[in-house]
Parts: sequence; C-alpha cells; structure tokens
Amino acid sequence: MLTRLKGGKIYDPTRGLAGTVGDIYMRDGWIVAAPAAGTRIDQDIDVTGRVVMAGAIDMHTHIGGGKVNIARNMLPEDHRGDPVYHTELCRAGCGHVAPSTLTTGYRYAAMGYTACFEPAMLPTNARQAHLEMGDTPIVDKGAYAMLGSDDFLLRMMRDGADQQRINDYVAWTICSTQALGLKVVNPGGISEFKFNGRKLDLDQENSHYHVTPRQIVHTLARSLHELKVPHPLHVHASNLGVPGNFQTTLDTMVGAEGYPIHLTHIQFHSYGTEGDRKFSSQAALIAEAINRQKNVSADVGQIMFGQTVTASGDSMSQHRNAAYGSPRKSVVMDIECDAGCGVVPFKYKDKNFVNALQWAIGLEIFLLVDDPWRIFLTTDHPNGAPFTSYPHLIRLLMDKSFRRDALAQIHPDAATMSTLGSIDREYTLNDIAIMTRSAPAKILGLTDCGHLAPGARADVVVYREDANPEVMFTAPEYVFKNGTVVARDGEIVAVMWGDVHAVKPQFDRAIEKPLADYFERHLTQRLGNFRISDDEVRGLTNGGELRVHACQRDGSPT
Amino acid sequence: MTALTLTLKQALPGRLDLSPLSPTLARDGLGGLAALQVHMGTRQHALGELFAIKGDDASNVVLAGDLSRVDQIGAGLAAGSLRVEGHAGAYLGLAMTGGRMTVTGNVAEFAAVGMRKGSIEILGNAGDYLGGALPGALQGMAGGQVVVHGDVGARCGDRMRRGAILVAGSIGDYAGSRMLAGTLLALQGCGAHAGYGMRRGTLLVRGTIPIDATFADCGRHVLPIVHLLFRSWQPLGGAFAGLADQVRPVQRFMGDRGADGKGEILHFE
Repeated sequence: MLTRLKGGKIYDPTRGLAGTVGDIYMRDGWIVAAPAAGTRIDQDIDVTGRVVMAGAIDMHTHIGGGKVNIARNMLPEDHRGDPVYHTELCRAGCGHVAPSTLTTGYRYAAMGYTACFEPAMLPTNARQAHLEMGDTPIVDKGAYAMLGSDDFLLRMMRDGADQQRINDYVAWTICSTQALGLKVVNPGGISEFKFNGRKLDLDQENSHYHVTPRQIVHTLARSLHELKVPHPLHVHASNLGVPGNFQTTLDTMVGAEGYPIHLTHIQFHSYGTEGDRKFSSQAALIAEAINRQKNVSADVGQIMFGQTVTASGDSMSQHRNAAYGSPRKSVVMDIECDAGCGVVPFKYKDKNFVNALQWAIGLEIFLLVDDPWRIFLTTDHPNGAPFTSYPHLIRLLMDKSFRRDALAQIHPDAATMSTLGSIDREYTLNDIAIMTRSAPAKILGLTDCGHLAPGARADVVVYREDANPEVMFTAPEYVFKNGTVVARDGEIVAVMWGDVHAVKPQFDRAIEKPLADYFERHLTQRLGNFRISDDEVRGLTNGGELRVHACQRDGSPT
Repeated sequence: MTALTLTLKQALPGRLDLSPLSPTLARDGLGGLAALQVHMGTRQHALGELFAIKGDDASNVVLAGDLSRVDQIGAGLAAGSLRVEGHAGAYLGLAMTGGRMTVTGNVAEFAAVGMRKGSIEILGNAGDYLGGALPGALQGMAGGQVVVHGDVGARCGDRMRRGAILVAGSIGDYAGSRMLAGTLLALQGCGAHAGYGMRRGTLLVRGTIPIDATFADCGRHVLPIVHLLFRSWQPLGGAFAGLADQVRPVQRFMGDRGADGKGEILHFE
C-alpha cells in the first residue's frame, strides 16, 4: 500500500530539512522515494501546513528491568491514583510515575515517540528487562547492558587482563543480553558500597579490587571503540547528586582520553558548593566542557516539579537519598553481586531551594550547550519526572517568556543563584527535531530510524503547529509506526508491536571457557541459561523484529 | 428538601464500584446523576439504570436495597450525611475526609480504610481490615471515629495512625496490628495476637484477650484518661453508655516490643 503525506513542512535534520514543504511516501512500512508519475496512491493524506517529523526517540528511559518493577511494587498509591481503563483497542493499566508496560507504550506512542531505550539493563536481569520491554506496545525498544561494578570485570582489571580479553567479555555481554550498548553506573562504586564504602571518587581505588573509576571508564570506553559499537560508553558518573561533583564530571570527560563517551543525566552531576547553602550551579562550566570536547555527548535528566520515583543502579547514591524519600520508603539492594539497585520515591518541590536549583541547572545545561546534536532531551524517566512531562519541557526550551514566568515561581534564592533568567536562547523546531530524532538515531547507530529519507522505517509524526509547543507536542495529529497510523490527536487508534534493536560486536568465543567456570562457581544460573538467543528475544516481541545494527565507528579517538 | 434516595432496582449480577458517587455529588450536585457512569466488572452502567433516584438533597443521601455487592459506598465523602439501609459491600467510606455515615446492616472488608475525618456508625458487624490500610499503604485510618455495634473481623485498625474505632462486640485476630497511633476499643474481647507489631497507640479491651509474649505486663492502674474517654463515649448509647458508671482499673501491657514498643493494651472488666 502506498501512502502519501502531502504538503507538510518537513523537519528532517539528518538531511538538513528544516520546514521544507514536501511530500513523504510510505510503502509497506518503509519510507520510499517519490514514485513515478501516475502511480496509484492508495492513501493520500493532506497535511498542508502541518509539521512533519520522524518518530521521536527517547534514548534514556527506564522502561524495563528489575528496578521499574520494584518501583511499581513499592508505589501502589501511584497505581490507585492513576487508573487507566481498557478500551476496544487498549488494555487496562495504571500508574503516573511508574506506569504499567502497556500504558507506557500507549502514552509514548500517543506523544509521537516510536522508540525508547532502557539504559540500565543488568546482565543478570536481561531476561526480565526484555520480557517487560516485549510487553510495551507500539514503540521500538532496546537496552544498554550495565557493567563496571561486576565482579568478573573488576577481577580481570585487578589481574591486569589485557584489553583484548576485556573487549571479548564486553562484546560477549552485549551479545548474550541482546543489548544495543553498554552503560557504566557509578564505576566501581556499586561494588565499593558492598565493602561499606559510601563514596568513591574518580581516582580513589575500590577497596577490594584496587581499580579506580577512571580506569574503569577508560577501559570500557576504549573497549567499545575497539569493538566499533556505535553507541559510546553510556556513563552515569561517580558522585551523583553530591554538591561539588562537577569536578568529578569534568575529570571523567578528560579521563576518557578522547574516546567517545556519553554522560547521562548530567544535570545531577553539575553541582557546585558555593553560596550559603553550599549548593550551586556549575552548569556553565559543564556546558563549556561539552562544547569544547567533541568526544563527549550528554543527556540532561531534567527534573520537573511533582511526585516521581527515582530508580537507579547506583545503590550508593540511593542509600544516601533514602532519607529524603517521599513517601518515605525505599529499596536499596544488591543484585546477584553483579550490580545494585536503589528505588526511592521523590517529590520535587518548586519552593525547595535544592529542587528549584536542580530544575534551573537542567535548563541551563540545555541552553548553554551549543550543539543540539550532542545534548539530548530526557528527564531520565522516571528519575527527574515521568516522560509525559516532555511537552512541558519542550515549551520551557522553546519559549523564553514562559521560562521566565516559571523561574519567577521557584524558590527565590534558587532563582537568584541561577543564570537562567539571563539566557535568551530559544530552541527552534529544528533543534527539537535534532535532539529528539536525528541525534539519538545517530549516536545509537540506528541508520533506519530518526529520519525521513527513503529506506527509513515509516515512523512519522504529524504535528499541528501551535503557538504553545506544549499543546503541539502533547497530542500530534498523526503518529505512524511502520506506516500504520497508531495514534490520532493523542488517542491510540491501532496497536502493534515494535522491534528490538541490538548490536552484535565480534569476539573470541574462548572467553566462554573462563566464564562458564565462573558462572558455575559463583552465580545462580549456568552460562547456557544466562544467554538470550536471537530466537528467544524474537519470541518476546509479539511479532516485532530483532533489528541488528552494524558495528561501525569512524575515525580514531579525538 | 427531601433526602436523595437511591434504591437498588434489582439484585446485582456482579460487584458494583460506587466510588464516583460522593465526589460527583459534591462537585456537580444532582445534575446528570442518573447518567453517571459506574463500573460493574469490566462494564459501565449509568447510575439511573441500576438505581431508582428520588429526592433532591444532595447532602443527605440514603441508599436502600441489598447493597452487599456494592463496593466503595461513600468513598471520598467530604461532607453531609449518607445512610445505608441494609448491608454494604467492601471499602465503605474509603478515604473519606468528613461527613457522617450510618449503616443499618453489616459491612464487608476494608471499611473506613484511609479515613481521615468524619464518623461512621455501623449497627451490624464489620469485616476484616476495618480502619486499616490499603495493601502497600504506609498508614491506615488517620482520623475520625468509627462505631460498630456488632463484631469486627481480623486486622482491625491495621497501620492505623489516628482516630478511634469503638466496637461493642469482639474483634478478631490481630486487632491493631502494625498500629502507629490511635485508639481501639473492644467490649467483648479480641482474638489472637492483639497489637501485633504495634508501635504506638492504645487497645482498650474488656473480656478475654490472649497477650503475646512481646507485650510486657506493667501492672494494674487507675488511669484518669480512661475514665475521661469513657465519659466522652457515653452519648453513643448502647453498650458504650454504662462504661463511665464506675471506676475501672486497667491492667496495662506495653508493646509490641518486636516493633517500637510504645503501644499499650489496657485490659479492664
């Protein structure tokens, strides 16, 4: 079936289109070139005056894996407070900050998102993560496997294993867990916590393995580069949320020694210690460092005021935060000696100095990083706020006066300490298209997503332009997934199942010998049961595909 | 004005969720009441389909008929009075924040859960978890008063935070379990493990009560506060009326020492 979207204003930064009026053709789930004149068009949709973009991509959102389920278990009030009744098409669900899998998929799709990536899949929890993601309808999924505090890697590093062998282990982990990338969370720190450490600085040795976070970041970043995995190392840096941690963040950028790294939820890592309350914004320094170092990209992890829940693998920082939980409950646990997990519900308040400044710091980073190709729009769902707050966030970025009004509402001391009021920059629609489509596709190595050139998946969103971007981005007029209209004006009109994205870096199978022995001796499952085969992951997608992306990277470290 | 009376037209084939009723009445008054959508299982029905609606006083509501399969009656009630003629289903008065409810028959489980203010009087018996906490909630009933003239099931006052539950009959097992604070009165004894895991709060019990090993006997006392409480309950009538007639010494047990240990069981005859 050939579908034409006629006369829309196309924003496709991948091809340099910013509001160019043109037609989009879709056939059998793919975008195709304009057919020869006279070809019969089965479905012709006039979108004159509308904004047309590729489906949005959320490159960092906690939608699967153990943590989210713990958050769901822990917050029955969140479920009771936001019931979603079933319809003819959609199944019932619930939850505002930790929605059920089904509700997550419907809400993302209704907002124009067609791909979501779970950033912290513990290898040992990979099956659970894929099961949950497999149960998330419409959107494409993928996950980054989490290493860096696991015993096997730290033992290898302690024993001075050569890089090649570590590469094999990294690649084996990515392949065995059907991951798209690799994340490191509080490198070595989660392990340090188990030896009663409550802090681990970048150059501080883990007390048991005697390796430093800097070494771990460098080793893994190099490993991914040598394996040519497209997505750079996804780094949740040390000292999350600690006032004064901006120095750690700057040092981490330098510590990568030119290897590409992606710093995640950087808002939580940009704090200084100035002022009466010993808490201040260092967003300008961080943004300046990102602007200067082209090997670094970041997503923001913006916070929004209101109730949410923080779910992180960083048990060390979550243990620190547990006392601030609201409602006051928390889970901080070890997961099979492989990593940790901490879930703490949080209520960010605009009249609270720290929260208000966190909010301002996130926006400062958005506005001070010059290159929208290297900064990504996230709230680190649900850690900063649930993903349903994206349209509001987009408005804050696009509308200077709205932003100033919001700034006037927050804690006055925080507003005074922030430079936000003096920043005039407003994001354009094209910038938004870059940071929510083209750039995530590029940094994840997804060649067939995030753009509208022939050969791409027909994931297309048609927005009704509105002076208020929040209205515009809340309920797009049409959302196409694989060429099918799945949502209209914020309502789901068709349900389908998205694909799973993964990469398969090459490695030497010999690594399985010591691993099999290690699993046998130390872990709760055997190596053969741990590995998730292609067939198994396909079985979880409800008919979606397993899309394996090529491992290629250009150039040498900068 | 006459009381707004909703009479169930026929026996229900399933459980009906009446939670929208009280908030809708408070917000919109009588307008559109007959068309109000309520859930029975997976289906929706208009309120007017199921109930005959008469009367015009939205602040004075009477429900009549066999309502034992109607859940969440008076959920979210904030003001006014609601009277149930007959039995009521589960979650009666869920999270109510004010007003007055009366039930002439029995109520099922989870009545007065999450209640914050107001009063409920039950002339019959009440099921488990009266004034308790919803599964996973940190606090149960956090204010107000519940009076039961019959018996109550297990886990009465589970995680209760504030307020009073006064029972003329007996309470089942685990009375006042995980209680944080508040007052529980039973005039015809309690089942096993009364006060299990209670941190603070008071259980006042007449009649048989097995005391767990985690409660410490603190001796026999004459406590003026007990007498003051009895006096304040005199107007409730029935079994509560005669309590203040004489000085009643109490045997005081503190516990649960497996939890915070600042709670007390006061046993009297």
